[in-house]
Amino acid sequence: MVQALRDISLTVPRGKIVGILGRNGAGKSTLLRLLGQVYTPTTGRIEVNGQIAGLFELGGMGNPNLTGREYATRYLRFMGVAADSVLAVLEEIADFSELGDAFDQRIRTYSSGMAARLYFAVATAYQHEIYLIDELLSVGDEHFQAKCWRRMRERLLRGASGVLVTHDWTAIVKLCEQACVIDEGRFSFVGSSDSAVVSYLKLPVPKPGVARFPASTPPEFLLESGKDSRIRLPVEILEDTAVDCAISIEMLRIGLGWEIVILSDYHPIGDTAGTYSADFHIAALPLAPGKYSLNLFLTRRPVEGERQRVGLDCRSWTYGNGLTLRVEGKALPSAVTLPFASRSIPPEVA
Amino acid sequence: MSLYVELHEVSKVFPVGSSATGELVAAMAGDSGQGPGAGGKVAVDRLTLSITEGERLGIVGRNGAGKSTLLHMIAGISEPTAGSIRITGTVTSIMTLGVGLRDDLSGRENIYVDGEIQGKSRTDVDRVIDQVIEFAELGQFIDYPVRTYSTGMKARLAFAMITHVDPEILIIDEALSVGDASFSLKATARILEICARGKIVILVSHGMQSVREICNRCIYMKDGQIVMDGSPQDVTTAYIEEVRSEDEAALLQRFRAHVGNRSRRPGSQIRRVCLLSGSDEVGSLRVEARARLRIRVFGSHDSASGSAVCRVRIVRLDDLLVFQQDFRLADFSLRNGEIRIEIDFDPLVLGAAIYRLDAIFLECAADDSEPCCEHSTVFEVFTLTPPVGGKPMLYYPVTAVVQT
Repeated sequence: MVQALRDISLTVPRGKIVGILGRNGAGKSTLLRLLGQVYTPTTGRIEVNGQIAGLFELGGMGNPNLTGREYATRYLRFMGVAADSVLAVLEEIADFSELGDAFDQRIRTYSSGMAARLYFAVATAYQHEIYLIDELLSVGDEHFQAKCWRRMRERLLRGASGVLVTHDWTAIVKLCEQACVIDEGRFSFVGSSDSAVVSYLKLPVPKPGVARFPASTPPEFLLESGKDSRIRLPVEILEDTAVDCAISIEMLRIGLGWEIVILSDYHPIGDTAGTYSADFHIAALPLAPGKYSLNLFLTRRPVEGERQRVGLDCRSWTYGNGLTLRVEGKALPSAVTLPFASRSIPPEVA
Repeated sequence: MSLYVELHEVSKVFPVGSSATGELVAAMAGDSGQGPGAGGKVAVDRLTLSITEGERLGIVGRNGAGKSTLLHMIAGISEPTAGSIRITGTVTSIMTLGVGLRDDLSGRENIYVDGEIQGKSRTDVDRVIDQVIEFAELGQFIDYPVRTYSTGMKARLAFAMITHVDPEILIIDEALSVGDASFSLKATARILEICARGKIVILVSHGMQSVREICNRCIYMKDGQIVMDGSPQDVTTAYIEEVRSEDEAALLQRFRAHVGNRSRRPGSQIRRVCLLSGSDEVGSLRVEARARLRIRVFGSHDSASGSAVCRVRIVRLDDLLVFQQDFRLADFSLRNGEIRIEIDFDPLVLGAAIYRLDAIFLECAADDSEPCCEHSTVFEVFTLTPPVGGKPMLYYPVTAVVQT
């Protein structure tokens, strides 16, 4: 006997998508199939309150000889969509999937990407109460992925709940506030999705033998919105090496998105062993008040022809050792602001 | 004998028509030999391609460009409508993953069955089966029916099975996108190993990185034809650039539908909003990142003396508000009552993306104030030199001073 899952307890609140992060064979698919009532649990119980749309094992009910339209019609009927609204939903599916004329051709003539677009469009065309999602958003090109994200967000905003099972951590922080890390059939971590990412990634911090951010690096910086700002960082070079440093300021809006707001270039710190102090200046700090993640990267300066930088030390929330940047000041209506000047346009300008 | 794959003027046309019987009737009527343009959907259009030993060919292209159809024909899964395909060596393909696995057999049984199909003896399979199982990382699951496997597990088994039979010509369709990072690393290494033995690998992928890592030649397919053939670096770069500009043009087009100008009250109107990028004096909707941008608003308002304002907002395509500022109309009125505002971003620090620009006249700056008139347009910030290491929201200058 294989015990695929053991002692899993999970509550998905209405209106939330809970993330399940795990590597191959960790038990993700088994869990999703239990939730989708494909399997019954050996022990324990599952209560589901609402109608489930399983996005897992796409095309499970697809006969490749059906056309896209026939497949969609069959799916909608199966999900109990009222006959008088089927036509409108079909139009919506045809539009979203961008299949054009191919919508009326057989699925077996589709490329894998076209089939994926069809299945996603069909499964999400209708506002279901619960979505079970398996890696789905990794399908298709960038443009279509962006559309899938917007669609899932929309469904969430309208009160859908769900479970997203994936090994892609960026998907988890974008869609889920809460996440679990699953490992060998058990939850090894349950908590906020950013902490889950750290627990999942377990990124090896570069061995700080050549250069490092010393222990005296402040864990938090406090800056004022709109003011000229300085972030002073101590850097130690332990062996004679040309060392560069870059910083990034990231906005981590759990469940909504993660985004780099400001990214500096690499600046030279020094070439020889010693203790340095690097001042990063940002004029008229364009950030709205709030909490940001400040990340620091220390690398060897690439020599001619070298394409990748060799990391020497790193502080980042993805490593679980990131710094906090707190921005104070008057609230802004926007996420950031842009430096500008304004003037009246003289009458002679047409 | 050396391996090669040669396609000469190959076309594939799918008959149009939705019913399964349609094709059957056509076939019975002896009407299957449609040439390109005979009223079908042309998936591959008179394509000529020759691949020789040691080549690792990447195929990139948008969804529906004909990549999968091409692979199916090389793999012998479907026949070309016209043209000829000549292949020496045996073709092994990893298409839609897990196809070919028998659900009710265990992983182990599948390996034997597959070996038989590939013409291997039981002892041949015995020799490699432990490696296959180890590579697939299935643990105890190897003796369970394949129907109990997750998608990732099926993918790993299929990949392991195929790459251990020592393929001569290996075709991979998006296979590497399934599975986690560590497995795809292993899979990449395995493919490179196969290539090192002088075999042919054909890879279709949306992952430009894997094409660059694995392939030594790349073609870009569009509308069933090869539009570019060259080094993976050059072709993928050109492809990404073209996809990006096509996408943005399409998005811009779609977004333009929401563009408009509305006056809700007689006496208040925005006549025109124009964007001047760099030294441009005409105005355009394509704005270069890190260059100067001037936004000009022209309008009129009948009570511009009081608390009325022009609110200017910049909203990114995904609804993120990146700029909002109120300008008192009284400060920008000419003697004849005309309102002319110039907002000067020098330089514009917005990251590359598409944005909507709203200009709204309000009686006062309060949030619940009813708009008197509003004007929306879209613009795109582009850059030819994107920053390395990420796609930041802002291209904001950061300087550094170092002391010892």
